[in-house]
Amino acid sequence: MNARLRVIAPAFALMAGLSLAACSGAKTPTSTPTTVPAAPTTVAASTFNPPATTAPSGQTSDSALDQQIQGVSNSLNQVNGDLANADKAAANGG
Amino acid sequence: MMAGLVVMMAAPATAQPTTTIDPVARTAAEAAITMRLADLNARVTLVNQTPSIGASDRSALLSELNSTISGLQALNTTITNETSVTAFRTEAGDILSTYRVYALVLPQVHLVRASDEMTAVVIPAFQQLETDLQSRITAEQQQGKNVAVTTAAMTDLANQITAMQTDTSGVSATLLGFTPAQWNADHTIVSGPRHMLGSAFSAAGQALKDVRAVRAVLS
Repeated sequence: MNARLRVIAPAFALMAGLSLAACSGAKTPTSTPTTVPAAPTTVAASTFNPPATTAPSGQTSDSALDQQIQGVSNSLNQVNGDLANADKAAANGG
Repeated sequence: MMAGLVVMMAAPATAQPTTTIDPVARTAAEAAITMRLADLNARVTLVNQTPSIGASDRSALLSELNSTISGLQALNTTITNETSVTAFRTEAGDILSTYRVYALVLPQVHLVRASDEMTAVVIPAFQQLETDLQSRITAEQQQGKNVAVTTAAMTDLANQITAMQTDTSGVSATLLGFTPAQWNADHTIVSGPRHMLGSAFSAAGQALKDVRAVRAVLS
């Protein structure tokens, strides 16, 4: 179900429920709600999991692997910089 | 700066004995100390801001840096107030021979930092990647995918991790054990640990290629 359907579905369900109740001769509730609950304007972030990068259950996702690779690459850049700085200082002498 | 220090330390054989210190030489000596103090203080900040440096290595590095800083500050005061030409020449030479800021101390800082980054961050990260990639390979294999192409890279990844562990083992401790006196006796003492870390870095580069090759196969 896409995000838009998630947003409007509860409102339709509520309206459908009210219509069915009216057509079936159901007893009118003694306390009719005067307002319809506002439909949510946002959908919880957890519903936006990117399916394309989700690995099989229990596995590290593609995006997590890529983050790990980027992290180790960054660390190696630091190591390379330190090796170069050590050489540069030594070349300066004294 | 090095040339200036050498000139003021070496009296020409034919020169007449001087009774006063050349103000240019004194200024050069003071500038040489100022430059070293700035570089040392920058390394104190660097060490304090590097989380991968182990606690004992951090303590040892800061101890060395701070003792070098306090020693050079005292020497600077001595040189500024010195009246003896002979004593001044000795003190100017001490800037180099007693402290070895560029030849030894700064390389120690950067090489220990590199070594600790390898052992505390890089190697564990590759080990985690090895585990995670193998898990993904197994899962995709169970789904019928042909993952045979990953075998060689995974084998090499394991070998490179072993090489990194071997090349970094004990390197920080070795580096931290060096003193200016040892460097004065043997100018090549840093070369061994430097070579080991270069090898570890090369192994890490190959391991990264292996990881990327396997990652490219996984969907």
